Amino acid sequence: MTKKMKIRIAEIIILLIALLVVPLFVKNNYYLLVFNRILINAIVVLGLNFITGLTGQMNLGMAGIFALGAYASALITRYANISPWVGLLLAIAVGWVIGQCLGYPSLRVKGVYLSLTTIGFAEVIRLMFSNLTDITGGTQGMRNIEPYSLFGFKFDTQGKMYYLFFVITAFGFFIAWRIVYSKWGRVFKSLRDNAEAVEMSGVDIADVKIKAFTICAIYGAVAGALYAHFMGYINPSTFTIDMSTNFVIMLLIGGLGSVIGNIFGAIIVTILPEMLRFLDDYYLITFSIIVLLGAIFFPNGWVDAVVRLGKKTINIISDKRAENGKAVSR
Amino acid sequence: MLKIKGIDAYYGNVQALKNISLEVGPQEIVSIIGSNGAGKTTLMNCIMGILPVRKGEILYKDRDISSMKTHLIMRSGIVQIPEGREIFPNMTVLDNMEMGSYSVKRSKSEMKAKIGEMYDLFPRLRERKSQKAGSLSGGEQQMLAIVRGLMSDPELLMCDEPSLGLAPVIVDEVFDTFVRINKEKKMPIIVVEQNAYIALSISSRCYVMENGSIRISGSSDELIVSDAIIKAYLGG
Repeated sequence: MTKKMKIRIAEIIILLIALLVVPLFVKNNYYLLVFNRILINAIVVLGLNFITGLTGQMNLGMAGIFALGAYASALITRYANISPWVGLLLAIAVGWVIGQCLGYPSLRVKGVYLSLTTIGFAEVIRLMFSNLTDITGGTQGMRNIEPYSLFGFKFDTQGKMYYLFFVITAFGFFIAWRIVYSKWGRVFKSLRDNAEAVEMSGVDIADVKIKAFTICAIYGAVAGALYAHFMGYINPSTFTIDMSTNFVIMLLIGGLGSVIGNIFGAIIVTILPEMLRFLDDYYLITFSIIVLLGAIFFPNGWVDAVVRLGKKTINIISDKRAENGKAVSR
Repeated sequence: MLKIKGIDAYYGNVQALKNISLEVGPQEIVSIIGSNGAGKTTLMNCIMGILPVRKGEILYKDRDISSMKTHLIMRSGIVQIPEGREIFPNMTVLDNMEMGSYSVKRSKSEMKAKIGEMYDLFPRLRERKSQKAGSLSGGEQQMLAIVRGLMSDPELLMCDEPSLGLAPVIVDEVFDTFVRINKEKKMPIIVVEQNAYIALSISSRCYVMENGSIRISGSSDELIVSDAIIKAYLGG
Protein backbone atom coordinates (compact mmCIF):
# COMPACT_ATOMS: atom_id res chain seq x y z
CA MET A 1 0.00 0.00 0.00
CA THR A 2 1.39 3.35 -0.96
CA LYS A 3 1.61 6.35 1.35
CA LYS A 4 -1.01 8.15 -0.73
CA MET A 5 -3.47 5.31 -0.19
CA LYS A 6 -2.84 5.36 3.57
CA ILE A 7 -3.55 9.07 3.74
CA ARG A 8 -6.71 8.55 1.72
CA ILE A 9 -7.93 5.81 4.03
CA ALA A 10 -7.21 7.96 7.09
CA GLU A 11 -9.24 10.76 5.52
CA ILE A 12 -12.16 8.41 5.00
CA ILE A 13 -12.11 7.14 8.57
CA ILE A 14 -12.11 10.67 9.97
CA LEU A 15 -14.99 11.58 7.68
CA LEU A 16 -16.95 8.49 8.77
CA ILE A 17 -16.54 9.23 12.46
CA ALA A 18 -17.48 12.87 11.99
CA LEU A 19 -20.62 11.85 10.13
CA LEU A 20 -21.53 9.19 12.68
CA VAL A 21 -21.72 11.56 15.65
CA VAL A 22 -23.79 14.16 13.83
CA PRO A 23 -27.22 13.21 15.30
CA LEU A 24 -25.82 13.34 18.84
CA PHE A 25 -25.28 17.07 18.52
CA VAL A 26 -27.98 18.00 16.09
CA LYS A 27 -31.45 17.65 17.53
CA ASN A 28 -33.21 19.92 15.06
CA ASN A 29 -35.44 17.82 12.79
CA TYR A 30 -35.00 20.13 9.83
CA TYR A 31 -31.21 19.79 9.89
CA LEU A 32 -31.48 16.03 10.16
CA LEU A 33 -33.82 16.03 7.19
CA VAL A 34 -31.23 17.93 5.19
CA PHE A 35 -28.57 15.42 6.26
CA ASN A 36 -30.75 12.56 5.12
CA ARG A 37 -31.23 14.24 1.77
CA ILE A 38 -27.44 14.54 1.54
CA LEU A 39 -26.99 10.82 2.13
CA ILE A 40 -29.57 9.90 -0.49
CA ASN A 41 -28.10 12.35 -3.00
CA ALA A 42 -24.64 10.98 -2.27
CA ILE A 43 -25.75 7.50 -3.33
CA VAL A 44 -27.04 8.86 -6.64
CA VAL A 45 -23.84 10.80 -7.26
CA LEU A 46 -21.69 7.76 -6.45
CA GLY A 47 -23.57 5.96 -9.22
CA LEU A 48 -23.53 8.86 -11.65
CA ASN A 49 -19.77 9.05 -11.19
CA PHE A 50 -19.40 5.77 -13.07
CA ILE A 51 -21.11 6.94 -16.20
CA THR A 52 -20.52 10.69 -16.34
CA GLY A 53 -17.47 10.95 -14.13
CA LEU A 54 -15.39 8.00 -15.23
CA THR A 55 -16.47 6.99 -18.72
CA GLY A 56 -17.29 10.60 -19.56
CA GLN A 57 -20.79 10.21 -20.99
CA MET A 58 -23.29 12.84 -19.99
CA ASN A 59 -26.28 11.26 -18.31
CA LEU A 60 -29.07 13.76 -17.72
CA GLY A 61 -31.68 11.12 -16.95
CA MET A 62 -30.83 10.37 -13.34
CA ALA A 63 -34.21 11.70 -12.19
CA GLY A 64 -35.93 9.06 -14.32
CA ILE A 65 -33.88 6.27 -12.79
CA PHE A 66 -34.46 7.74 -9.33
CA ALA A 67 -38.23 7.93 -9.97
CA LEU A 68 -38.39 4.35 -11.20
CA GLY A 69 -36.64 3.15 -8.05
CA ALA A 70 -38.93 5.24 -5.85
CA TYR A 71 -42.15 4.14 -7.53
CA ALA A 72 -41.11 0.50 -7.85
CA SER A 73 -40.47 0.26 -4.14
CA ALA A 74 -43.49 2.33 -3.09
CA LEU A 75 -45.89 0.47 -5.38
CA ILE A 76 -44.85 -3.02 -4.38
CA THR A 77 -44.97 -2.10 -0.68
CA ARG A 78 -48.43 -0.63 -1.15
CA TYR A 79 -50.10 -3.22 -3.36
CA ALA A 80 -48.35 -6.44 -2.34
CA ASN A 81 -48.41 -5.22 1.25
CA ILE A 82 -44.90 -6.40 2.01
CA SER A 83 -41.81 -5.01 3.68
CA PRO A 84 -40.04 -2.02 2.10
CA TRP A 85 -36.89 -4.14 2.11
CA VAL A 86 -38.40 -6.22 -0.66
CA GLY A 87 -39.04 -2.92 -2.41
CA LEU A 88 -35.33 -2.17 -2.11
CA LEU A 89 -34.50 -5.49 -3.73
CA LEU A 90 -37.01 -4.75 -6.49
CA ALA A 91 -35.35 -1.35 -6.96
CA ILE A 92 -32.01 -3.07 -7.47
CA ALA A 93 -33.58 -5.35 -10.07
CA VAL A 94 -35.23 -2.39 -11.78
CA GLY A 95 -31.90 -0.57 -11.77
CA TRP A 96 -30.22 -3.51 -13.41
CA VAL A 97 -32.86 -3.66 -16.15
CA ILE A 98 -32.74 0.11 -16.86
CA GLY A 99 -28.95 -0.03 -16.91
CA GLN A 100 -28.96 -2.74 -19.54
CA CYS A 101 -31.62 -0.91 -21.59
CA LEU A 102 -29.97 2.52 -21.35
CA GLY A 103 -26.55 1.04 -21.99
CA TYR A 104 -27.43 -0.13 -25.48
CA PRO A 105 -28.30 3.27 -26.96
CA SER A 106 -25.11 4.63 -25.41
CA LEU A 107 -23.17 2.35 -27.76
CA ARG A 108 -24.63 4.12 -30.78
CA VAL A 109 -25.26 7.69 -29.71
CA LYS A 110 -22.56 9.91 -28.30
CA GLY A 111 -22.07 13.30 -26.73
CA VAL A 112 -24.98 15.69 -26.81
CA TYR A 113 -27.24 13.11 -28.47
CA LEU A 114 -26.78 10.77 -25.53
CA SER A 115 -27.68 13.61 -23.17
CA LEU A 116 -30.87 14.17 -25.16
CA THR A 117 -31.67 10.47 -25.11
CA THR A 118 -31.30 10.32 -21.36
CA ILE A 119 -33.39 13.49 -20.87
CA GLY A 120 -36.04 11.89 -23.08
CA PHE A 121 -35.94 8.74 -21.00
CA ALA A 122 -36.42 10.66 -17.77
CA GLU A 123 -39.33 12.66 -19.19
CA VAL A 124 -41.05 9.51 -20.47
CA ILE A 125 -40.79 7.99 -17.00
CA ARG A 126 -42.12 11.14 -15.34
CA LEU A 127 -45.06 11.45 -17.75
CA MET A 128 -45.82 7.77 -17.37
CA PHE A 129 -46.12 8.07 -13.61
CA SER A 130 -48.23 11.21 -13.78
CA ASN A 131 -50.66 9.63 -16.25
CA LEU A 132 -51.04 6.18 -14.72
CA THR A 133 -53.54 7.81 -12.35
CA ASP A 134 -55.21 4.56 -11.26
CA ILE A 135 -52.02 3.01 -9.98
CA THR A 136 -49.78 5.86 -8.94
CA GLY A 137 -52.35 8.49 -8.06
CA GLY A 138 -51.11 10.67 -10.91
CA THR A 139 -49.98 14.17 -10.06
CA GLN A 140 -51.64 13.79 -6.66
CA GLY A 141 -48.75 11.55 -5.75
CA MET A 142 -48.61 8.61 -3.38
CA ARG A 143 -49.18 9.25 0.31
CA ASN A 144 -48.33 7.42 3.53
CA ILE A 145 -45.56 5.24 2.22
CA GLU A 146 -44.47 2.99 5.02
CA PRO A 147 -41.02 3.69 6.57
CA TYR A 148 -38.34 1.01 6.89
CA SER A 149 -38.42 -1.26 9.89
CA LEU A 150 -36.06 -3.94 11.13
CA PHE A 151 -37.23 -6.70 13.51
CA GLY A 152 -40.03 -4.52 14.79
CA PHE A 153 -37.78 -1.46 15.15
CA LYS A 154 -39.28 1.32 13.07
CA PHE A 155 -37.06 3.88 11.38
CA ASP A 156 -39.74 6.53 11.74
CA THR A 157 -37.87 9.63 12.96
CA GLN A 158 -35.26 11.59 11.06
CA GLY A 159 -32.57 10.66 13.58
CA LYS A 160 -33.22 6.91 13.25
CA MET A 161 -33.37 7.16 9.48
CA TYR A 162 -30.07 9.00 9.49
CA TYR A 163 -28.30 5.93 10.87
CA LEU A 164 -30.01 3.61 8.42
CA PHE A 165 -29.15 5.76 5.42
CA PHE A 166 -25.69 6.31 6.78
CA VAL A 167 -25.00 2.58 6.83
CA ILE A 168 -26.39 2.11 3.32
CA THR A 169 -24.44 5.09 1.94
CA ALA A 170 -21.25 3.88 3.60
CA PHE A 171 -21.79 0.47 2.04
CA GLY A 172 -22.42 2.06 -1.36
CA PHE A 173 -19.33 4.21 -0.91
CA PHE A 174 -17.21 1.19 -0.08
CA ILE A 175 -18.39 -0.72 -3.16
CA ALA A 176 -17.91 2.32 -5.41
CA TRP A 177 -14.43 2.82 -3.96
CA ARG A 178 -13.48 -0.80 -4.63
CA ILE A 179 -14.73 -0.62 -8.21
CA VAL A 180 -13.14 2.74 -9.04
CA TYR A 181 -9.71 1.60 -7.87
CA SER A 182 -9.91 -1.80 -9.53
CA LYS A 183 -9.22 -3.08 -13.02
CA TRP A 184 -12.75 -2.08 -14.03
CA GLY A 185 -12.29 1.43 -12.73
CA ARG A 186 -9.15 1.79 -14.79
CA VAL A 187 -10.99 0.64 -17.89
CA PHE A 188 -13.85 3.09 -17.23
CA LYS A 189 -11.35 5.92 -16.92
CA SER A 190 -9.46 4.90 -20.04
CA LEU A 191 -12.72 4.92 -21.97
CA ARG A 192 -13.01 8.63 -21.29
CA ASP A 193 -9.40 9.17 -22.38
CA ASN A 194 -9.23 7.26 -25.62
CA ALA A 195 -11.94 4.83 -26.62
CA GLU A 196 -10.09 3.49 -29.68
CA ALA A 197 -7.05 2.51 -27.69
CA VAL A 198 -9.23 0.71 -25.16
CA GLU A 199 -10.42 -1.61 -27.88
CA MET A 200 -6.82 -2.25 -28.90
CA SER A 201 -6.13 -3.35 -25.34
CA GLY A 202 -8.53 -6.25 -25.72
CA VAL A 203 -11.50 -4.71 -23.93
CA ASP A 204 -15.04 -5.27 -25.14
CA ILE A 205 -16.19 -1.63 -25.13
CA ALA A 206 -19.87 -2.52 -25.44
CA ASP A 207 -19.70 -4.74 -22.40
CA VAL A 208 -17.85 -2.14 -20.33
CA LYS A 209 -20.21 0.70 -21.23
CA ILE A 210 -23.24 -1.38 -20.33
CA LYS A 211 -21.58 -2.35 -17.06
CA ALA A 212 -20.99 1.31 -16.22
CA PHE A 213 -24.59 2.20 -17.01
CA THR A 214 -25.88 -0.71 -14.96
CA ILE A 215 -23.87 0.22 -11.87
CA CYS A 216 -25.08 3.80 -12.28
CA ALA A 217 -28.73 2.79 -12.61
CA ILE A 218 -28.62 0.43 -9.64
CA TYR A 219 -27.25 3.20 -7.42
CA GLY A 220 -29.87 5.61 -8.73
CA ALA A 221 -32.77 3.21 -8.23
CA VAL A 222 -31.67 2.25 -4.72
CA ALA A 223 -31.44 5.93 -3.77
CA GLY A 224 -34.91 6.43 -5.25
CA ALA A 225 -36.35 3.63 -3.14
CA LEU A 226 -34.78 5.08 0.01
CA TYR A 227 -36.18 8.48 -0.90
CA ALA A 228 -39.73 7.14 -1.23
CA HIS A 229 -39.76 5.57 2.24
CA PHE A 230 -37.90 8.49 3.72
CA MET A 231 -40.28 11.18 2.51
CA GLY A 232 -43.39 9.02 2.86
CA TYR A 233 -44.84 10.89 -0.09
CA ILE A 234 -43.77 10.92 -3.74
CA ASN A 235 -45.06 12.98 -6.61
CA PRO A 236 -44.04 12.82 -10.28
CA SER A 237 -43.37 16.57 -10.39
CA THR A 238 -40.35 16.06 -8.10
CA PHE A 239 -38.50 14.02 -10.67
CA THR A 240 -37.89 16.70 -13.27
CA ILE A 241 -34.83 17.61 -15.30
CA ASP A 242 -33.97 20.06 -12.49
CA MET A 243 -33.28 17.09 -10.29
CA SER A 244 -31.10 15.44 -12.95
CA THR A 245 -29.04 18.57 -13.49
CA ASN A 246 -28.68 18.96 -9.73
CA PHE A 247 -27.07 15.53 -9.57
CA VAL A 248 -24.69 16.47 -12.37
CA ILE A 249 -23.81 19.70 -10.52
CA MET A 250 -22.99 17.67 -7.41
CA LEU A 251 -20.72 15.49 -9.50
CA LEU A 252 -18.97 18.48 -11.06
CA ILE A 253 -18.46 20.29 -7.77
CA GLY A 254 -17.08 17.18 -6.15
CA GLY A 255 -14.79 16.54 -9.09
CA LEU A 256 -15.27 14.01 -11.88
CA GLY A 257 -14.09 10.53 -11.04
CA SER A 258 -13.28 11.14 -7.38
CA VAL A 259 -15.28 8.98 -4.98
CA ILE A 260 -14.63 11.23 -1.97
CA GLY A 261 -15.44 14.20 -4.16
CA ASN A 262 -18.86 12.67 -4.86
CA ILE A 263 -19.72 12.82 -1.18
CA PHE A 264 -18.52 16.40 -0.80
CA GLY A 265 -20.39 17.39 -3.95
CA ALA A 266 -23.60 15.98 -2.52
CA ILE A 267 -22.98 17.80 0.78
CA ILE A 268 -22.19 21.16 -0.81
CA VAL A 269 -25.00 21.20 -3.34
CA THR A 270 -27.61 20.03 -0.84
CA ILE A 271 -26.61 22.42 1.94
CA LEU A 272 -25.66 25.52 -0.03
CA PRO A 273 -29.17 26.36 -1.34
CA GLU A 274 -30.57 25.81 2.18
CA MET A 275 -28.00 28.22 3.60
CA LEU A 276 -28.87 30.78 0.96
CA ARG A 277 -32.57 30.71 1.81
CA PHE A 278 -32.25 34.06 3.63
CA LEU A 279 -31.87 35.66 0.21
CA ASP A 280 -35.52 34.78 -0.51
CA ASP A 281 -36.27 35.24 -4.19
CA TYR A 282 -32.61 35.56 -5.11
CA TYR A 283 -31.35 32.38 -3.53
CA LEU A 284 -31.55 30.24 -6.66
CA ILE A 285 -29.82 32.77 -8.89
CA THR A 286 -27.07 33.27 -6.30
CA PHE A 287 -26.61 29.53 -6.06
CA SER A 288 -26.45 29.21 -9.86
CA ILE A 289 -23.85 31.97 -10.11
CA ILE A 290 -21.70 30.31 -7.46
CA VAL A 291 -21.90 27.00 -9.31
CA LEU A 292 -21.09 28.66 -12.64
CA LEU A 293 -18.06 30.48 -11.22
CA GLY A 294 -16.96 27.23 -9.63
CA ALA A 295 -17.14 25.47 -12.98
CA ILE A 296 -15.02 28.20 -14.58
CA PHE A 297 -12.35 28.60 -11.91
CA PHE A 298 -12.19 25.08 -10.47
CA PRO A 299 -12.82 22.82 -13.45
CA ASN A 300 -11.53 19.81 -11.50
CA GLY A 301 -14.02 20.33 -8.71
CA TRP A 302 -13.98 22.25 -5.48
CA VAL A 303 -12.43 19.46 -3.48
CA ASP A 304 -9.45 19.36 -5.79
CA ALA A 305 -9.16 23.16 -5.59
CA VAL A 306 -9.13 23.10 -1.78
CA VAL A 307 -6.56 20.28 -1.71
CA ARG A 308 -4.31 22.22 -4.11
CA LEU A 309 -4.65 25.40 -2.10
CA GLY A 310 -3.75 23.46 1.04
CA LYS A 311 -0.66 21.99 -0.59
CA LYS A 312 0.41 25.42 -1.81
CA THR A 313 0.14 27.01 1.64
CA ILE A 314 2.06 24.11 3.18
CA ASN A 315 4.78 24.61 0.59
CA ILE A 316 4.93 28.35 1.23
CA ILE A 317 5.10 27.84 4.99
CA SER A 318 7.82 25.22 4.74
CA ASP A 319 9.76 27.45 2.32
CA LYS A 320 9.59 30.33 4.79
CA ARG A 321 10.69 28.07 7.61
CA ALA A 322 13.63 26.94 5.54
CA GLU A 323 14.59 30.56 4.87
CA ASN A 324 14.31 31.48 8.54
CA GLY A 325 16.34 28.43 9.48
CA LYS A 326 19.13 29.57 7.19
CA ALA A 327 19.05 33.07 8.67
CA VAL A 328 19.37 31.69 12.19
CA SER A 329 22.22 29.37 11.38
CA ARG A 330 24.13 32.21 9.83
CA MET B 1 0.95 -17.42 -38.91
CA LEU B 2 -1.16 -14.88 -40.72
CA LYS B 3 -2.51 -15.47 -44.19
CA ILE B 4 -4.64 -12.92 -46.02
CA LYS B 5 -6.41 -14.16 -49.12
CA GLY B 6 -7.83 -11.66 -51.60
CA ILE B 7 -9.66 -9.24 -49.33
CA ASP B 8 -11.73 -6.24 -50.42
CA ALA B 9 -12.79 -3.48 -48.05
CA TYR B 10 -14.91 -0.37 -48.51
CA TYR B 11 -15.48 2.96 -46.79
CA GLY B 12 -19.11 3.50 -47.75
CA ASN B 13 -19.08 3.04 -51.53
CA VAL B 14 -15.40 3.77 -51.97
CA GLN B 15 -13.26 0.73 -52.38
CA ALA B 16 -10.21 1.08 -50.14
CA LEU B 17 -8.62 -2.33 -50.55
CA LYS B 18 -8.58 -4.31 -53.77
CA ASN B 19 -7.83 -8.01 -53.69
CA ILE B 20 -5.05 -7.91 -51.12
CA SER B 21 -3.17 -11.11 -50.40
CA LEU B 22 -0.37 -11.24 -47.90
CA GLU B 23 1.41 -13.74 -45.74
CA VAL B 24 3.42 -13.52 -42.54
CA GLY B 25 5.45 -16.53 -41.49
CA PRO B 26 6.57 -17.33 -37.97
CA GLN B 27 9.48 -15.29 -36.62
CA GLU B 28 9.81 -12.93 -39.54
CA ILE B 29 9.56 -9.17 -39.81
CA VAL B 30 7.37 -8.10 -42.71
CA SER B 31 7.14 -4.49 -43.77
CA ILE B 32 4.34 -2.81 -45.70
CA ILE B 33 5.34 0.42 -47.35
CA GLY B 34 3.49 2.88 -49.52
CA SER B 35 2.57 6.53 -49.81
CA ASN B 36 -0.28 8.38 -48.10
CA GLY B 37 -3.69 6.91 -48.83
CA ALA B 38 -2.32 3.66 -50.20
CA GLY B 39 -4.47 1.70 -47.76
CA LYS B 40 -1.84 0.55 -45.27
CA THR B 41 -3.72 1.57 -42.15
CA THR B 42 -6.97 0.32 -43.68
CA LEU B 43 -5.36 -3.07 -44.07
CA MET B 44 -4.35 -3.03 -40.39
CA ASN B 45 -7.89 -2.07 -39.41
CA CYS B 46 -9.25 -4.97 -41.46
CA ILE B 47 -6.98 -7.44 -39.74
CA MET B 48 -8.05 -6.14 -36.33
CA GLY B 49 -11.72 -6.32 -37.28
CA ILE B 50 -12.32 -2.58 -36.97
CA LEU B 51 -13.31 -2.32 -40.63
CA PRO B 52 -15.40 -5.18 -42.01
CA VAL B 53 -14.05 -7.19 -44.92
CA ARG B 54 -16.46 -7.64 -47.84
CA LYS B 55 -14.65 -10.37 -49.71
CA GLY B 56 -11.84 -12.79 -49.03
CA GLU B 57 -10.59 -14.22 -45.78
CA ILE B 58 -8.01 -13.55 -43.09
CA LEU B 59 -6.55 -16.72 -41.64
CA TYR B 60 -4.68 -16.59 -38.35
CA LYS B 61 -3.25 -19.94 -37.30
CA ASP B 62 -5.57 -21.48 -39.93
CA ARG B 63 -8.66 -19.91 -38.37
CA ASP B 64 -10.75 -17.31 -40.19
CA ILE B 65 -10.79 -14.15 -38.07
CA SER B 66 -12.31 -11.78 -40.64
CA SER B 67 -15.69 -11.61 -38.90
CA MET B 68 -14.47 -11.69 -35.30
CA LYS B 69 -14.81 -8.74 -32.90
CA THR B 70 -11.76 -6.59 -32.24
CA HIS B 71 -11.24 -7.51 -28.62
CA LEU B 72 -11.48 -11.23 -29.41
CA ILE B 73 -8.94 -10.92 -32.21
CA MET B 74 -6.67 -9.13 -29.78
CA ARG B 75 -7.18 -11.90 -27.23
CA SER B 76 -6.27 -14.53 -29.78
CA GLY B 77 -2.81 -13.00 -29.91
CA ILE B 78 -2.65 -10.19 -32.48
CA VAL B 79 -1.77 -6.80 -31.10
CA GLN B 80 -1.83 -3.59 -33.08
CA ILE B 81 0.11 -0.55 -31.98
CA PRO B 82 -2.07 2.11 -33.55
CA GLU B 83 -0.95 4.99 -35.70
CA GLY B 84 -0.28 8.23 -33.83
CA ARG B 85 0.39 6.42 -30.52
CA GLU B 86 -3.14 6.55 -29.07
CA ILE B 87 -2.06 6.23 -25.46
CA PHE B 88 -4.24 7.30 -22.52
CA PRO B 89 -2.97 10.85 -21.93
CA ASN B 90 -4.63 11.43 -18.55
CA MET B 91 -3.46 8.20 -16.98
CA THR B 92 -0.03 7.50 -15.54
CA VAL B 93 2.57 5.54 -17.48
CA LEU B 94 2.13 2.63 -15.11
CA ASP B 95 -1.66 2.65 -15.52
CA ASN B 96 -1.21 2.70 -19.28
CA MET B 97 0.97 -0.36 -19.09
CA GLU B 98 -1.47 -2.18 -16.83
CA MET B 99 -4.27 -1.38 -19.27
CA GLY B 100 -2.30 -3.30 -21.87
CA SER B 101 -2.49 -6.47 -19.84
CA TYR B 102 -6.26 -6.28 -19.37
CA SER B 103 -6.81 -9.48 -21.31
CA VAL B 104 -4.22 -11.46 -19.34
CA LYS B 105 -4.76 -12.64 -15.78
CA ARG B 106 -1.65 -12.02 -13.71
CA SER B 107 -0.80 -12.19 -10.04
CA LYS B 108 0.82 -9.14 -8.49
CA SER B 109 4.31 -10.59 -8.61
CA GLU B 110 3.90 -11.71 -12.23
CA MET B 111 2.68 -8.24 -13.13
CA LYS B 112 5.69 -6.69 -11.41
CA ALA B 113 8.04 -9.00 -13.27
CA LYS B 114 6.38 -8.21 -16.58
CA ILE B 115 6.55 -4.48 -15.98
CA GLY B 116 10.20 -4.83 -14.99
CA GLU B 117 10.87 -6.66 -18.23
CA MET B 118 9.25 -3.80 -20.15
CA TYR B 119 11.36 -1.22 -18.30
CA ASP B 120 14.44 -3.11 -19.40
CA LEU B 121 13.28 -2.74 -22.98
CA PHE B 122 12.88 1.03 -22.63
CA PRO B 123 14.67 2.15 -19.44
CA ARG B 124 13.43 5.67 -19.90
CA LEU B 125 9.89 4.63 -19.01
CA ARG B 126 11.02 3.58 -15.54
CA GLU B 127 11.90 7.18 -14.71
CA ARG B 128 8.54 8.33 -15.97
CA LYS B 129 6.34 5.67 -14.42
CA SER B 130 4.17 7.90 -12.25
CA GLN B 131 4.03 10.76 -14.73
CA LYS B 132 0.92 11.38 -16.81
CA ALA B 133 1.36 9.78 -20.20
CA GLY B 134 0.24 12.95 -21.98
CA SER B 135 3.27 14.78 -20.61
CA LEU B 136 5.75 12.43 -22.26
CA SER B 137 7.69 13.36 -25.39
CA GLY B 138 6.62 11.90 -28.71
CA GLY B 139 9.32 9.25 -28.61
CA GLU B 140 8.49 8.20 -25.08
CA GLN B 141 4.81 8.01 -25.99
CA GLN B 142 5.66 5.70 -28.88
CA MET B 143 7.75 3.55 -26.54
CA LEU B 144 4.84 3.44 -24.13
CA ALA B 145 2.46 2.42 -26.91
CA ILE B 146 4.79 -0.42 -27.91
CA VAL B 147 5.19 -1.54 -24.32
CA ARG B 148 1.44 -1.43 -23.78
CA GLY B 149 1.03 -3.67 -26.79
CA LEU B 150 3.63 -6.11 -25.49
CA MET B 151 2.06 -6.32 -22.03
CA SER B 152 -0.52 -8.84 -23.23
CA ASP B 153 2.17 -11.26 -24.49
CA PRO B 154 1.10 -11.11 -28.14
CA GLU B 155 2.05 -13.72 -30.69
CA LEU B 156 1.99 -11.28 -33.58
CA LEU B 157 2.81 -7.60 -33.30
CA MET B 158 1.60 -5.06 -35.85
CA CYS B 159 2.99 -1.57 -35.67
CA ASP B 160 1.39 1.23 -37.64
CA GLU B 161 3.73 4.09 -38.60
CA PRO B 162 6.04 3.89 -35.60
CA SER B 163 8.28 6.64 -37.01
CA LEU B 164 5.47 9.19 -37.31
CA GLY B 165 6.65 12.53 -35.96
CA LEU B 166 9.74 11.19 -34.21
CA ALA B 167 13.31 12.45 -34.26
CA PRO B 168 15.64 10.28 -36.39
CA VAL B 169 17.62 9.10 -33.35
CA ILE B 170 14.46 7.89 -31.65
CA VAL B 171 13.28 6.21 -34.85
CA ASP B 172 16.51 4.19 -34.87
CA GLU B 173 16.02 3.25 -31.23
CA VAL B 174 12.43 2.12 -31.83
CA PHE B 175 13.36 0.01 -34.84
CA ASP B 176 16.33 -1.53 -33.04
CA THR B 177 13.88 -2.59 -30.37
CA PHE B 178 11.68 -4.29 -32.96
CA VAL B 179 14.65 -6.30 -34.16
CA ARG B 180 15.48 -7.18 -30.57
CA ILE B 181 11.93 -8.25 -29.73
CA ASN B 182 11.82 -10.31 -32.90
CA LYS B 183 15.07 -12.07 -32.07
CA GLU B 184 14.59 -12.56 -28.34
CA LYS B 185 10.92 -13.53 -28.30
CA LYS B 186 10.76 -15.08 -31.76
CA MET B 187 7.77 -12.86 -32.38
CA PRO B 188 6.67 -12.09 -35.92
CA ILE B 189 6.22 -8.38 -36.55
CA ILE B 190 4.39 -6.43 -39.24
CA VAL B 191 5.69 -2.90 -39.66
CA VAL B 192 3.70 -0.41 -41.68
CA GLU B 193 5.82 2.54 -42.73
CA GLN B 194 6.18 5.52 -44.96
CA ASN B 195 9.86 5.65 -44.21
CA ALA B 196 10.68 2.97 -46.77
CA TYR B 197 14.41 2.79 -46.17
CA ILE B 198 14.30 1.94 -42.47
CA ALA B 199 11.39 -0.46 -42.97
CA LEU B 200 13.25 -2.32 -45.71
CA SER B 201 16.44 -2.43 -43.71
CA ILE B 202 14.95 -4.30 -40.74
CA SER B 203 12.43 -6.55 -42.51
CA SER B 204 13.03 -9.82 -44.30
CA ARG B 205 10.19 -9.35 -46.77
CA CYS B 206 8.30 -6.32 -47.96
CA TYR B 207 4.99 -5.51 -49.63
CA VAL B 208 4.59 -2.24 -51.51
CA MET B 209 1.06 -0.85 -51.58
CA GLU B 210 -0.41 1.65 -54.00
CA ASN B 211 -4.03 2.77 -54.38
CA GLY B 212 -5.39 -0.03 -52.29
CA SER B 213 -3.61 -2.92 -53.90
CA ILE B 214 -0.24 -4.57 -53.55
CA ARG B 215 2.03 -3.51 -56.41
CA ILE B 216 5.30 -5.23 -55.64
CA SER B 217 6.35 -7.79 -53.10
CA GLY B 218 9.57 -9.62 -52.44
CA SER B 219 12.55 -9.95 -50.20
CA SER B 220 13.71 -6.69 -48.68
CA ASP B 221 17.33 -7.20 -49.75
CA GLU B 222 16.25 -7.29 -53.38
CA LEU B 223 13.74 -4.48 -53.16
CA ILE B 224 16.17 -2.10 -51.50
CA VAL B 225 18.35 -2.18 -54.60
CA SER B 226 15.57 -2.38 -57.20
CA ASP B 227 15.23 0.64 -59.50
CA ALA B 228 11.47 0.99 -59.18
CA ILE B 229 11.62 1.23 -55.39
CA ILE B 230 14.58 3.57 -55.35
CA LYS B 231 12.84 5.88 -57.78
CA ALA B 232 9.47 5.94 -56.07
CA TYR B 233 10.25 5.61 -52.37
CA LEU B 234 13.90 6.08 -51.61
CA GLY B 235 14.32 9.39 -53.39
CA GLY B 236 16.90 8.09 -55.84
